[in-house]
Amino acid sequence: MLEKEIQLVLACKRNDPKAQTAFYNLYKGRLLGICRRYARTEAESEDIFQEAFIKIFKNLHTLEKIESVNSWVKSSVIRTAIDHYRQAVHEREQVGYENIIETSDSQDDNVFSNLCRDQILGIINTLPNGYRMIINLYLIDGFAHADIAEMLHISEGTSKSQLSRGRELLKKELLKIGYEVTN
Amino acid sequence: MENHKEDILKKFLQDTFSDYEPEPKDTSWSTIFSAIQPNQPTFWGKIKPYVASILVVLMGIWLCYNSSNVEANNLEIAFNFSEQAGIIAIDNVPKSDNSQTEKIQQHSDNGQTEKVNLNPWSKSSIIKFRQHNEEEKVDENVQPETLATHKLLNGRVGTLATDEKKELAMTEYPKEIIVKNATPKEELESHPTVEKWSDKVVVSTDNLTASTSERVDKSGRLGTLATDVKTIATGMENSIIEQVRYIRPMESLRNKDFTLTKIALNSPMITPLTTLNREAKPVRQHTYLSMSITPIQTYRILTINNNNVQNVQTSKLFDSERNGWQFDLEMTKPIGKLWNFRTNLSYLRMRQWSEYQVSTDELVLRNTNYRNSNSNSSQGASNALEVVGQTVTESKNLHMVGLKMDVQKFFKITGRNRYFISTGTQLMYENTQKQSNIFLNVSGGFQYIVSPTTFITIEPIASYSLNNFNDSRSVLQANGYNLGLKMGVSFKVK
Repeated sequence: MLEKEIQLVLACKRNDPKAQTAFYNLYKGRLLGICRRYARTEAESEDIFQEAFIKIFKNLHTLEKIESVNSWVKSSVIRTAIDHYRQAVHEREQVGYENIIETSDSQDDNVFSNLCRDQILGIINTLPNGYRMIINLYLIDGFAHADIAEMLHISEGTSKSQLSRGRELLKKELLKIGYEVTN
Repeated sequence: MENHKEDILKKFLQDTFSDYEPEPKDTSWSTIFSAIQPNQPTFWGKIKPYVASILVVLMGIWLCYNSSNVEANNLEIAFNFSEQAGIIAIDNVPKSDNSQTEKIQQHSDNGQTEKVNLNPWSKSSIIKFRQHNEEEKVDENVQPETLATHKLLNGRVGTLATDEKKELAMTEYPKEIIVKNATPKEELESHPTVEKWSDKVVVSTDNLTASTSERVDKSGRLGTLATDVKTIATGMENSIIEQVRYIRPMESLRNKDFTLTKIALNSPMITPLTTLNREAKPVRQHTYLSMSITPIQTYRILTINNNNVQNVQTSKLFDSERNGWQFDLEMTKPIGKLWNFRTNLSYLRMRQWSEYQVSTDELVLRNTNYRNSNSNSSQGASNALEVVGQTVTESKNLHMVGLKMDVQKFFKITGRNRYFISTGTQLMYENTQKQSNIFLNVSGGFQYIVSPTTFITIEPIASYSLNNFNDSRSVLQANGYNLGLKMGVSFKVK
């Protein structure tokens, strides 16, 4: 980790506004990327993003190992997203899974730049909540089933079974837009 | 096996989102910052006091400017004291501009009139007037209000009966409000230089009273201290002064001409923080490299170094004797959401074939018999001298290298298929004859996405040689148009 980043974190711990601005500029892109994956909509991801950053700045003084700030902020964002998911889980379950086709067809981005990723993101966003969380946590962010079970307050078996079903659903939807992720 | 598949999906997703860093909204940071630094003013919080100060100053300037105009419309009171204390009338006369300027006028026998202005912005409206006649004798036992009422009731202004006037006055000014003097009268009375106080009251038909406090000091000089204007009808609350003082500014504010100067705020430039030397990631614009081949070529560019060409035998558009292919190495770069710029290096190899006739030195006399079609009996013969022509057939391989640039526009994207049109130009150089050819290209087609990094393109292409516009006689350019079918495969390289 760069010395400058360590100094930046230390300055943020001292509640230095300039350092906080720099810290935000340093992490905003990748953290919003995480939020976009976990949220269903962009507006929801912005909410999670802002809430997570506020938590990060308020709890930064509890960070003991400054070298692990990257994983710490990422974990903070994911936990905020999970909290957000828990709060709104009942409302979200009203939203159907059928929107995938419309979402994938409405992409107008450049075919050679963001289209592929946005299409995949669109599919992930429209997955049922449980599947979306597990796929993000396990397949993209690399958490183990034990950690996922703890974070989502479910059993490891549930985590595994949801991953299995979610993965099949994801592959099926990826295949519809031209991605065959099998051997 | 399952784990292996899972790993592929995992790797695929992780690769897809490894560098995914979207840009948050501009307002996000201000929201976060205000939450974590509640005492730290934001940019707007910093400039807000200055803006408020500027607004206050501008408002003050505006009010000062307008107060001079209001002064001109102040309460105008005309007093005229007659030798006999008698009929006094105070008229509430609106000015012609409907500014509701009250005019109090006392009619007297000699008709002298003096106008006094009341400033509605001062706390105490002091009416200065100069007394032209003898001071009115006031019965000290009679209270000013009673006197005023008495004068009002005995007034002979207008044709209204006294009761009617009173009723009218009560309707218009139902309450009594007396404008206070700046200095209490009791204090002045106790002043060692003041010897006598006297109050004067003038009464209007609409129950307006102007009362003047005067003193006679010990040296016998008469001075005016203040003048009150008040309404005297029972239950009166609003006096004219109150109207002038409080209502008129509101009238001004309600005026449609009232406008505030628009303040132009220039946001200061905030230099970005460069605490860290972390490179800002650009928006990902992948570049694709394509290889394609166009097996069908139809145009014919053939140089004939012979000025004796009599005619050229045109050939079919598609001729098995004249065919070729073109290989393109193309780079595609996105320039917009649905626009791409394409440039390529191309190599064309084509077999050219042409048949034409050239004139020779030999002449032949041709005898032709004919029969007149109108008359069966009319027959004859004619002799014609013809140049003997020689048929020449040329065949050679054409090799050209070219540089092409065009723009591509996607007009429909459905699932794996992307439909597009494109247009551009191509410069091709033929080394043997040192001939450059410029083509105008138009094409349309579709792309089929095989994988996130690979797609294939089928692109029917039409081009036209702009060299056909020149008048060179040595270049044979039949079939300047070209039709081809370009097929290619593209890979993401960046």
